[in-house]
Amino acid sequence: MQKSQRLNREIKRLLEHPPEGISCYTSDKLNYLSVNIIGPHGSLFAGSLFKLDLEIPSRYPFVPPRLKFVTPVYHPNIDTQGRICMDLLKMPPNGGWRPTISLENLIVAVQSLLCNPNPDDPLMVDIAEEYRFNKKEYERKAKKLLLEYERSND
Amino acid sequence: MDDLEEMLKLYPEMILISRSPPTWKGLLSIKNGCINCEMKVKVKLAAPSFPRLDNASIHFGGSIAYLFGARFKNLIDSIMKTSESVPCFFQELTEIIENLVNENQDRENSIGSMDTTAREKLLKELDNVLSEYSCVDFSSTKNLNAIKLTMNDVSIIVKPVVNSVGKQSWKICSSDLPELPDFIINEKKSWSLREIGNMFQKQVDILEDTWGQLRRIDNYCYVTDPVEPKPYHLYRRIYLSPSLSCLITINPLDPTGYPMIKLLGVQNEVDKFRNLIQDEGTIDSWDIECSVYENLLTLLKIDEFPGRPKSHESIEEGVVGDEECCICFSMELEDNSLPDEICNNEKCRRHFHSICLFQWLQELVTNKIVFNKIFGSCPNCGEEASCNIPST
Repeated sequence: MQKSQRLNREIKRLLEHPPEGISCYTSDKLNYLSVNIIGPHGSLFAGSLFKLDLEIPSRYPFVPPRLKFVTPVYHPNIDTQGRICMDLLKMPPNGGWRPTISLENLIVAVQSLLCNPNPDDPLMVDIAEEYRFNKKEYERKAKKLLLEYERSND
Repeated sequence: MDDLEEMLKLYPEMILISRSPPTWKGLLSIKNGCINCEMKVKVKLAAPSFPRLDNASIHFGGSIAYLFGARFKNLIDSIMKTSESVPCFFQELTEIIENLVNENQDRENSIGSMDTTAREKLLKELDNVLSEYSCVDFSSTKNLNAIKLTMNDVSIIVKPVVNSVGKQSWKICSSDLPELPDFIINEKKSWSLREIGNMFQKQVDILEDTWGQLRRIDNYCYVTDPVEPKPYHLYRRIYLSPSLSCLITINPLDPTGYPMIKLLGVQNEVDKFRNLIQDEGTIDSWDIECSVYENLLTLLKIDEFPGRPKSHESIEEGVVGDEECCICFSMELEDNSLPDEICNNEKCRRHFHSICLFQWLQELVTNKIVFNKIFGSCPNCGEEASCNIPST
């Protein structure tokens, strides 16, 4: 009851008034949302489309939702499986999830992480090093991967 | 009263406005090394133990407000202690302010060593472009460290920099324009302001077509994203149904050509529309003589795009109301209980149902239970919070 009321409200709002660059749709799987993020202006990924899967666990909001990239991303905090290393997606004491965080807050945080990697808490150590010391090469590789994916999916 | 006479001689702009306690008010001339001119700083000094400066108080005008801070205060305090007379104090004060003002100016000039010749060159460059361009407006900050180019309500801001090969060039630090592959400032080359202006004008001219196409879509479709379209947004997400929208991105070099179209939504709806689009060789039926809007109608086989669905909620309302529980985002639970816990932090003051707060606090193993209370932190502000264990 607690969960469904909150979820209905959150999803309705996400569908009707999504934040800039974000769109969400209910999926045929129960408790799943498909999320689309458009890379913000001025960022490396400006205008590109990223797809993510969001799974809402049965104990939500007391445990965080699971969020995963479907589109491959070359990023210090995102692994090849699309798993995201972000504080807010983990339970305390190691993470920063709190039940007052909404799905919208979370998706916006991921959108921001996408364009502002956090090399100090890396999931992909090599990419983090590259991001820190050879940013040009990092940007080139990240764009290349995205272009390849876009081409193969047209 | 030698000191008073000396003050009058040396600082004629400081006027004695009271004799008990002796108080001066007026202007102090500060030489500004960079621009070779004088600036005036308003000063008021009250020296109750004149001619000494014990317990003196001093106030400055706002023109040097940017110097205020602990360092400034310490410097003033130290010369108040050491100065033997009021004229000496003013002399030392003038030096301190002069140094600080110049130091600050050096820092402000983004070209660390912008000397008079560089400055003159820049002014000349500006002068040239101002007389040359009629449709591009150029405006500059006072110290020439940023120049804004504006044309048809679109603008970019550029800063003078020394590029990687040591040449004078410009860097775009803010732009309303989308990134176009053909218009990236080559870092190795030394750009002149005129070249930047040319490039900007050309880019705006090229984009006008695209903006026209996008405006048309904005007028006739319910665009869900971007909420407030800006010149740099080349994409529009158009609402088709609650479970489907299409994201189109226009190629500015081919504004009426076949844009990038992505269908977003529930999977089976997406598949249905994708088949529809792909069925009949869409690229062939796309008519570059028509607008993108008209072409989209043909492509999707509709007469018009659906309008904004009626909604009772306004956007201004947050997802959770002030008085609602901010864990379950609702007012009343099944057992009719209302939010009965409020965070003690004055700046937070969030409401919770005790059952919701308890359920969260007991998730964390670090939280302690003492008698019938559980102790932890507020999930909103992080301040200490406790909650009665609900009797069930």
